[in-house]
Amino acid sequence: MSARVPRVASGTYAAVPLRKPLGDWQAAVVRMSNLDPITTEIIRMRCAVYHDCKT
Amino acid sequence: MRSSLYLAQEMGARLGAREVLQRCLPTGQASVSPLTRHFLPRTSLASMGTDATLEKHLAAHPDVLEQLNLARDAAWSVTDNRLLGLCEQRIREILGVAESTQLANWYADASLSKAEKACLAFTEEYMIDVASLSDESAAAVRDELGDQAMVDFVSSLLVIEQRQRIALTWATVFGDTK
Repeated sequence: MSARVPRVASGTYAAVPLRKPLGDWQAAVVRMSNLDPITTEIIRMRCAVYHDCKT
Repeated sequence: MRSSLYLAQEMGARLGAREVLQRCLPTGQASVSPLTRHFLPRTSLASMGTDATLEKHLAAHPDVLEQLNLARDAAWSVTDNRLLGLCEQRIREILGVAESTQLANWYADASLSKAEKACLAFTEEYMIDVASLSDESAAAVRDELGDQAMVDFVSSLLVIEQRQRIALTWATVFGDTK
């Protein structure tokens, strides 16, 4: 796999007024508990593949 | 988008997988391929409205709805509204929930600026396969907007795109409230 080339300058993040609610929204979703842990993990892995996510 | 997919599944947990699949398929289309199914007419999300769909299905989760709406408001506050509006319209067209397809030939529209066309091209690649988004498309947006505005634009795009996808999923699986 080829190395990624940064597309924006290092240290550039979304503006705080947007970054905070985005983080809060993701945290609120993760706090939901209807879904069992195995299905949750399967979805997480599927999303990571879809997004080519390395984290 | 990870959160939107997770949330869609979380809300779908009260249905069995077979029932979810059946609700996604129009009558008589149970044997079509996923690709064919993708291009079938969608539910009437356009008439119901994205906000109404999200509010209905998140009524029991006010904290999630509140954060989702705060992110929406923030997206529109940090990104040029005309630019984001154009991209939102294109997203709805690609998902099949727009009331018209006014941007189907955006690349030939002389009224659109170079920045708007760069962002529309980016949006289309983002929608189709975000992991394969080309360096050229990303560079075109960065050249027009600059680093900070590009990051804000992409983050805003994520917010408005996931709202459309979540609402479409719920309207398809759980039905319209009209």
